[in-house]
Amino acid sequence: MTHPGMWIKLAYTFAIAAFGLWLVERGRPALGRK
Amino acid sequence: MNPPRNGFGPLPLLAIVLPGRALQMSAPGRRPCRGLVMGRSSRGLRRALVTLTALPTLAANLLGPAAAGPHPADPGRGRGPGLFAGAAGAFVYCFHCTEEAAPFIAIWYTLGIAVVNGPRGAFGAAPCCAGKRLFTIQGANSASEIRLETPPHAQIHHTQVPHFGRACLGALLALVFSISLGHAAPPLP
Repeated sequence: MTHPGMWIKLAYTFAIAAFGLWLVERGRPALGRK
Repeated sequence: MNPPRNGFGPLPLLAIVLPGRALQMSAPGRRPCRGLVMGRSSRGLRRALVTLTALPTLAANLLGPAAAGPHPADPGRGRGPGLFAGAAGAFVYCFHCTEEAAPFIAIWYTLGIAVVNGPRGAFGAAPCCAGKRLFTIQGANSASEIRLETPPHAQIHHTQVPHFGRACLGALLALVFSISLGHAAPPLP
């Protein structure tokens, strides 16, 4: 866990996952809106 | 709503990867190029584990299909679930992967995530579309129609399932799957 490469891998995949989640939430209807 | 198009295709990714690669290849005492790209510990189908680890997260998108919402007529909207599932799988796979070379990460991790996503997000959309057929009302074409036609007590199944819950469940499934894979195929010496 202390190697920089490990943190790079985690940050890289986390950023892509966050982007995917943002795309999902962006295309989703707002809660509670009729 | 379609995902944004930046108009530059894969250029942003290349702009990140290429300078890093140039720096690494110019460093003294560098390893041979083949070792950087192909890795030292990976062999054959082991690289496919990124894709395999992503499958539970992709399957977890079934649980809130209408909320995730890609309509069958608009498969491009599967990019979100596909990217998320692929990257979550890769995130979990990180803990088993002993490779730390930038070219290896840039090529194989990106390829694994892209395989889960599919062309124009088609694979990411597939479980959502399948789930949508399972869970939504016949004849409803959009989430807003579903919300209007669904009785209030049932709406939570269609529009108000927090994606965060699905994300947690998917990550948990991926973790269990990844641990079992790790036991089945321990890292090479």
